[in-house]
Amino acid sequence: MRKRLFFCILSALLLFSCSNSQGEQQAGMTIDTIPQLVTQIQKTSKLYTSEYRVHKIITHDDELQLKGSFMKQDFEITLPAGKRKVAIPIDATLKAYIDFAGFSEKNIRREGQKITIILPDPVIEVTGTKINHQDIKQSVALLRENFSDEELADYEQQGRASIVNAIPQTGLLENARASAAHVIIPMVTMMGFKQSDITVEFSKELGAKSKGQGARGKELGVRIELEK
Amino acid sequence: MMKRFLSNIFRQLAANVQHTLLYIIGMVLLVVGIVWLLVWLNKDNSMEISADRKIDITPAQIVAIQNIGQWEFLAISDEELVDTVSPGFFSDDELIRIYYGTVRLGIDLHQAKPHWIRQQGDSLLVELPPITLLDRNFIDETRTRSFFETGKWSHEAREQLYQRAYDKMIARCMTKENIQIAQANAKVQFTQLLRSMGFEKIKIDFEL
Repeated sequence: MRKRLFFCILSALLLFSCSNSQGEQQAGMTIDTIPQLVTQIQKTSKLYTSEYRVHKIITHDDELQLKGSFMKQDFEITLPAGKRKVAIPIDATLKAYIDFAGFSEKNIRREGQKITIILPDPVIEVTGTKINHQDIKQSVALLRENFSDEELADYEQQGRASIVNAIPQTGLLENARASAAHVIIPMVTMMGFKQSDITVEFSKELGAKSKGQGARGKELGVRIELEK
Repeated sequence: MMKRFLSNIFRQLAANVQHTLLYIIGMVLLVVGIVWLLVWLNKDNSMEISADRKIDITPAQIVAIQNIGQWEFLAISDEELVDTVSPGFFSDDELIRIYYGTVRLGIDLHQAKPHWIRQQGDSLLVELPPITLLDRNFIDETRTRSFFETGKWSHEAREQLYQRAYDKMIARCMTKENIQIAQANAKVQFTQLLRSMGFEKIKIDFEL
């Protein structure tokens, strides 16, 4: 009788321990379904000359509203369900680059010892963004649903779009041109040209021009002149 | 006498019927009109419970500006679908997200030796620094798409998904083959650049 009882307890314990360890294993397990969607490889020739780090806090708050139209009359009533608020801090890296993909003899003008390099105007692009998950703050009223992953992703995409839209107002292009000259002129100097003989011009539509100067110039001797 | 009496009665009856008929027609038309008016007024009726989905206007602050000299020779645009499952009592919670990133391979001119371009006789010798990953933060996390979600998920879980997407992209893109493609393209591009500047004899090597 004792033996039977002992075996019963032992088998019950074994069964319990097996199911428990399986549960723990599952809890820590993540499953991948489709590992990759698209990979696009592109040969490029872009010279990145400036990097800008931008910080933005995306905020959003909303209230539930009953909207509609009744007998040709529009109405909008705020429901007393409470507010939801979220603040998402994001860090974005923007880089200015010169595209050398179509660079040829047409981009070079030589007059004796003097050399002029005509470059396309710099382009600024977002190279990476990072959401600071630890610092996200949110408050949701008791009667409201929590923010879904889709909603958060949507706010983040809107935040990215607002950073991109703000680029023209930042004046970063002007800085990018000067920065490009900072990279190009020392390179051309190493090829045997005098710094004072090197001129870097950007696309004529914008009329910007960077010029290398002699020993009296500041630092690398680069200055930006705007053509009249 | 009787004949006249009867004709009077019939005439009155006919007038009454005509009057009633007109009355009925009038009522029917009125009802039809009211119904049509109500249908027309209510045909565009709509009602929905919604919340504003737009973000507030907040400034973007430029934290740092830095002059760099990075030459990109290979850009790999990658999309990774990452998911996580949290087992529950009745059903499992699942979160699936799609991450987008561009892994950029190229050279960092700030890592180049002091005279990495030099003239030797009529030749131009170029010694390029090794091909490296140009951006550490190459995932554009704000472009991430939420593909599927059931249950509640914390921000820590999303951070873990980001890290897994990052590792996957590195493993997929930073391959020996891609580095070789970038190196070959660097040689082609630099040769083209220097030829267009008037140099004929060019030798390009990478630092070991």
